[in-house]
Amino acid sequence: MKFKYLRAEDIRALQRLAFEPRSLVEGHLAGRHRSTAIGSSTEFRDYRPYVPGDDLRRVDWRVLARTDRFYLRTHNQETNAACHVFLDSSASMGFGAPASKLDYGSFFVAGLAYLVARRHDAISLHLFDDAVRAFFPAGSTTRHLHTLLRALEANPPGARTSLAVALQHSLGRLRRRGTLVLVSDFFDDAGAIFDALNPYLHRGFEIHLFHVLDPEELQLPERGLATFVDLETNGRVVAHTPSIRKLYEQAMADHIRNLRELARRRHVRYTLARTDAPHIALYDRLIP
Amino acid sequence: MNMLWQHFALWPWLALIAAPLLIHLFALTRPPAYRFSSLEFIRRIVRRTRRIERPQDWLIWLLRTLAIAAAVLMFLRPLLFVRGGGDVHTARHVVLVVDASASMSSVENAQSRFSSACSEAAEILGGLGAGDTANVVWMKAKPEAVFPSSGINFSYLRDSLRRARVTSEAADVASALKLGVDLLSGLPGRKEICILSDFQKTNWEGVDFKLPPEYKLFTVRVGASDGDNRALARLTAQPVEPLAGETLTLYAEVRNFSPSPRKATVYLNFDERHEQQEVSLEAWGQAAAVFTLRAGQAGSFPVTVRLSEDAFAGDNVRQLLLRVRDRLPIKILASEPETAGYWRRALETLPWAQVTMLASNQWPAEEADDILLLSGWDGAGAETVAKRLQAGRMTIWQPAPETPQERLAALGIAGPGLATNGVLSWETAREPYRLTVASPDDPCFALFGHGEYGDPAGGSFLGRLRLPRLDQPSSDLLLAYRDQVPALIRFRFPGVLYLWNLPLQSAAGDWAARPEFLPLLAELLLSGRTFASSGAGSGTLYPGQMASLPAEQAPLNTAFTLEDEQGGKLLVEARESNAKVYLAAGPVKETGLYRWKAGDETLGWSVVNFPIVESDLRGGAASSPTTGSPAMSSGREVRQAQTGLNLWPGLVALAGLFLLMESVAVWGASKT
Repeated sequence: MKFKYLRAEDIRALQRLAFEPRSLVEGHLAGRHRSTAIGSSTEFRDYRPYVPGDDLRRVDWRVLARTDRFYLRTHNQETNAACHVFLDSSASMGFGAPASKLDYGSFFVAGLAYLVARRHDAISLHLFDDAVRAFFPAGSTTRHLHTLLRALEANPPGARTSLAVALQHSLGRLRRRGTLVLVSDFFDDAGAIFDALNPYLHRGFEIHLFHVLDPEELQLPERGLATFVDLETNGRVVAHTPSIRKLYEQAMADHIRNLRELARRRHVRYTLARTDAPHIALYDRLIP
Repeated sequence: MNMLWQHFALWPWLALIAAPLLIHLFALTRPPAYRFSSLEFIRRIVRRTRRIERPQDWLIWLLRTLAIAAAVLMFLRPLLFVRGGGDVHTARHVVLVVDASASMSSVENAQSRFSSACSEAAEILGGLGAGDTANVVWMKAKPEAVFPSSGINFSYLRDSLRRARVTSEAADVASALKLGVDLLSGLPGRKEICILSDFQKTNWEGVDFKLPPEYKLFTVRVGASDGDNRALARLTAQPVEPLAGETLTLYAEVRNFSPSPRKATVYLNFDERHEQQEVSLEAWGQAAAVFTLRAGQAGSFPVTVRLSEDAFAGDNVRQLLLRVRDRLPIKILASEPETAGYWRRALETLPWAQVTMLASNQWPAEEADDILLLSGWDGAGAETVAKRLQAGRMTIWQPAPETPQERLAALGIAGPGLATNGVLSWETAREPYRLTVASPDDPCFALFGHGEYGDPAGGSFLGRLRLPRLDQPSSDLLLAYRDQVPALIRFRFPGVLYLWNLPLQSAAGDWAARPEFLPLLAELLLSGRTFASSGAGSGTLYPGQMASLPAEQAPLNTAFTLEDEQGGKLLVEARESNAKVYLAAGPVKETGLYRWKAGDETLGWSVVNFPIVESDLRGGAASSPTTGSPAMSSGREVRQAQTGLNLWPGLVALAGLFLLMESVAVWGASKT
């Protein structure tokens, strides 16, 4: 099957990558990822002295033979990882040509879904603008992957952005902690966004912010005197581009710096994603 | 102010001025739409920068508009006529009236006012073109023109301006203007008179600049400062013509023409005497240095007074020709023989009196400088006596009974009791009339102070003339009858007139036989000279005037010359006037002492003094409201008023300046 946002060349590029959440995850299926629960798996974790009541099957007999002491081998319990993706589908994400920011984000999300599903990890998807337009609960099957890919293709830019609202509404839906990936242009109040992220952080989610921006948003093009039309509100402002260009760049830089700083303080990983850069490079940010 | 557009057909181009505004407005109303992700930042920035950008936008628009306007106007080739003008196609006839009077020699910024005036005049000449004519009139005591009529030889006029020298003369403004008008009368086209002067207040105050309507007047003032000058304003002797051996007082009046107090030293040079005095002068004030001299032998002697040096040197010297007499010539008109006889007998006893008796119909010459005693004169022909009085001569008049009172008025005598149709009636009384001294402190009574010469009011009279009250500001009642009828009055004109109401006839009283009669008569004659200015002006001239000398005694076949102090000679011409021969020379140009000579023999002297009217260097109004043409500061301004100021070079510069400013404004806007 051919999908718009998961092309053959993308699959080839993704072959060398693997979805490896940085933090430990918890899962109800035994999988490939370390769990915070100590259990039986092939990945050695540590030795600890034996205390009465411990399972004798986990005593390391070799150590006992060499040192005449009882030590237990402990292993990380392997589980399947959960990845929750929020893709901003507001009107502002429709900016950019020939590919919009939403297209860029959809390519990224499609690739991520492929990576996650390939390793039989679970992935959920939220498509939102000022509300959650579509929610696909976590799944790890190929069918689930196809569902997500089709949903991405049928996802035009919508209304205004309200990431905070989407996060608040989805908090109850995400029962399993895991990796939270936010793909947005973040034209929203940064304080409100991080306020909405606080419960997720509290629950131990590993959060990645992918700030998708078109180059023209970072550096206003030379348009002379122009009527700027807001994609979300249809509001209009007449401005002389050369006059405001530097101030705009400065304001945008301040905004990015602010987001980066807020993210750093909360141990949230922030990544600026320029649409003129290949989205494949972004997956490295997910690898610890 | 008037503007002439040489390329008037290009006026529609001025519509281009609206281009920046239209572009500006069009761009503001329909800028292309640009769909953008979020206007949050842009809105914030626009809100913040609007206060700065709006003025910048308008400033840039304004500068562009001004630049285009300047560029378009440049192509229209405008000519600016600041004061009138605008008719550049009609031939112009210009008379340049250049002030060459003495005040123009004042130096400012290393250049005399006269040099500045000549430079400005040359500048004006430079603006004349083909078909125009010009002339130069030198404004001095007797104005004269370079050409008899306006000509086209401008280079000759420029050469005249270059060679001209300032004079020591006073300016005759009215004559100069009249000459200028006359030179232009009858010429077609534009008639322009341009006066270049310092417009000295003392010369120009009250001058009416009004010219005939077809004439246009321009005035160019040279000399900005009020100057700083001290001058010897007057030099007088009292008595004016002393007798040999008599003591005289010399007054040298010094004036300060500056706004600060000054000190000056006055140097006297008379015969072998050299004296000096220092005088302190208030700002714009005056003071007098007083020298007491004794006249030696009879003759004419030059007196020279100098002032310490200042920047304006011309008026620092003044001279006086002091005439010392051996005797006073006195002529007695014997209309009433008894009185005339008493006068003659009395005066013949005085060694300094030279008495001549005249018949009643024999009048002395008007210009004769002798003293006239009129006994029993009825006032007929009062004009002759009036002229003598105005010329500074002394006269004693005993009116005849029944003299019409109006004849007193003809002499310049006035008074509240003078009737138009009245006569001076003779009156007698049984009781003799007694006298009283009305002005005891008058110098004529000084001799009688100790009583050895008797009582001047001691006589008694049985008859007298009934004189009305004749008190006037310039009169002194010396003796009066006890009933206040005037007995002896002195009237001060430039000369002195004693009105004598002291009958000398034996039937009328005893006055002629009294001892006071002779000394009082002598004192009246001697003291009267201090009030009369007789001879003060004799031989004194001002630069620009003709010098003349009566030549009755000179042999007419002799070569006459007039020599100045440096030995320079002026041609002398013998002229006949009223059957008398005069020597005439000049006009004399420079101040100083001139000697009339017949061969090697000295005939007389003439003194040429600086005209004091030229000493006050303060400028006055250079125009009058009637002309409507304000004073200009340079010939260039006049030229611009005549030919217009070509504005296009200025407009080129202006357009460039506006473009530069626009670039700066744009750069500044991009920076902010």
